[in-house]
Amino acid sequence: MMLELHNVTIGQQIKGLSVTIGDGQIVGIQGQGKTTLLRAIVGLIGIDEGHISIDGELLTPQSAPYFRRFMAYVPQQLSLPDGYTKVGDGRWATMTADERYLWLLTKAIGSGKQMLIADAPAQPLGMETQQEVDRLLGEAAGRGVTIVTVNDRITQNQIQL
Amino acid sequence: MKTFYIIVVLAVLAWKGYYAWGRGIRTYRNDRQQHDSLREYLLANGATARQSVWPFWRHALQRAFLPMLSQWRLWLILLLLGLLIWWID
Repeated sequence: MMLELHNVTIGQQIKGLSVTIGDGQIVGIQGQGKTTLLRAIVGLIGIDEGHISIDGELLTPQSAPYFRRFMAYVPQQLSLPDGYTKVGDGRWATMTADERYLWLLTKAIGSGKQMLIADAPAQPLGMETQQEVDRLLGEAAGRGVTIVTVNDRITQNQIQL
Repeated sequence: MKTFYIIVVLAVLAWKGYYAWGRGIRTYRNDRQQHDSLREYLLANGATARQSVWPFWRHALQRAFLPMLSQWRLWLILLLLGLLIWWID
């Protein structure tokens, strides 16, 4: 899937951002407003100016539910009500932050969707987890998944906000 | 006697139902405030708006009515008592 951001402005943090991300491309984001940008790409929040389009179709509050069927999203943080066991296979409460992030990422990649929007956890990941994350992202990109992620280890395609 | 019994049982049921409903609403409201990231997670991964709030509804219903169901012995005794009174009367 091709993701295009044209002159996107969100609040005070993101101003006039334009970028095109092609099929199977993996792009990292750095700077202030990373999570805000990812939430806008999945249509959880609106943008103030500009537009976001996916495969040439405009992302709007009305079209977002349609596009989300092709997207997998890994949030920065996730908290679950008591007794909710569908996330983390019932082990969420006992998992470490790294295990939780890996579970969410593995689930997102395993969903077979064409676009992955992966935020980074609030706490820094351990070295081994970072390597595992990079391996999983690399594999997904190799299968043609378009990836936008918060990851400063991606050196080639970085969006600096 | 029968009418009195029915009024008492209905009053208890109404009170229990009101209390359970209040507990359910409080649970839903608290969950939405504290765990809204789950709704967003589900929504962002392709769930519909209704599907994304279902875990909160389910939890609220469980918190509201499971304690009542767990007191089934009490309700069974009340029912048997009612039938007994009906039969004696």
